[in-house]
Amino acid sequence: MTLVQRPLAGSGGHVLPVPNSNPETASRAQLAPNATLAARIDVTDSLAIFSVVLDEPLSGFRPGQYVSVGVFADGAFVQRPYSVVTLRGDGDRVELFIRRLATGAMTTLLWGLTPGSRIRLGPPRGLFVLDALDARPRLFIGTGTGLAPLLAMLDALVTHGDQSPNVLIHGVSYQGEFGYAARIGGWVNAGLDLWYVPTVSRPDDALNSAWSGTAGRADAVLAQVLEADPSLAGGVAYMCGNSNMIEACRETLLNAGLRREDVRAEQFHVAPVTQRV
Amino acid sequence: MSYVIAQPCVDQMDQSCVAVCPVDCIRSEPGIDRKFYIDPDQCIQCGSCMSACPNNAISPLNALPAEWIDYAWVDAAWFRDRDIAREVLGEVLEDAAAAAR
Repeated sequence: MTLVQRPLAGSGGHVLPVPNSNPETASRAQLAPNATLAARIDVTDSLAIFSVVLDEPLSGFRPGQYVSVGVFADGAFVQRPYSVVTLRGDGDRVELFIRRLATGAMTTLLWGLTPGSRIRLGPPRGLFVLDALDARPRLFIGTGTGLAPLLAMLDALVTHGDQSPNVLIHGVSYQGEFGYAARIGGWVNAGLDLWYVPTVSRPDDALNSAWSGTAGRADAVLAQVLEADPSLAGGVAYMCGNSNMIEACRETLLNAGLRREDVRAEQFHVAPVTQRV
Repeated sequence: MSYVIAQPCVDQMDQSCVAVCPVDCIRSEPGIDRKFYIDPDQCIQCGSCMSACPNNAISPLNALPAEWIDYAWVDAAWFRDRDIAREVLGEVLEDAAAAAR
């Protein structure tokens, strides 16, 4: 533990042990495992769906929120927040959509887990939540695993028998990364008023050679969607993904006439040593 | 490297940061504290608090404006000795007020 003198003249010379960044100092009881990994379903080599069963139901979850996922490894406790895709069962089965980062400490640990591994999930957090009572048209825009909180919102709309028009634009680099197309198709077949627009941003890549659908970045596709259905300009938008996409889409939405308060976003934040996914 | 809550939070305490922190590492004592504090032991550097704060009061330590560098000490100290952290916060605010004059 380091002793640090506050560097202010006239401060009285207080000397305190300043906490270091070792997560081991956190209370072990507070960080006790409370969930079990049930399954990992690989979508690609670096993209997977994690199914987790909690010892106790997750209370207070609102579609769009995230939870911290914590793993013990080599005497350390590593945590990262991940958006919840679905909460099933009696609120005790959580699904997460996670991309493995090449240099990500947390995702390396997660991919090393086997079914039955014990982990810790924190309480649901976040202000990016669905307003299900707002009956205006909704635009959902996500890139990569930014789809996760949008799926939770759409899932809730299906459950509630929502009748409003919805659009979902999901941008990925490669066609193999859509992951949830079948589930989304099922929602449409079940009666959800949803215009689903999957798009690949690298149509000329060999990995997309079999792709015959929409191509282009999410913000460009959004502009086309707004042009095709001008009534969407009177709606509300929910976006999740990288900050460049969000800012580009925000500008497009505002230019189309959406009010600033109706453009809601959860962006992946690039922190000094880690990345929000 | 933790995030730090600096002067714009003082007497504002919007609480959005508390609502978004996935590991509940942002604390204060209601009715006593004039700002929130981030526990550097618990912070996982996700940046959610910074994005949520309407007062732009939160920065990663390595991007903390020089005039607010003492807030890093204050935040860390609060989780060791709240009284001293509050006392030092008072001094920091007095110094800032004097500099402004």
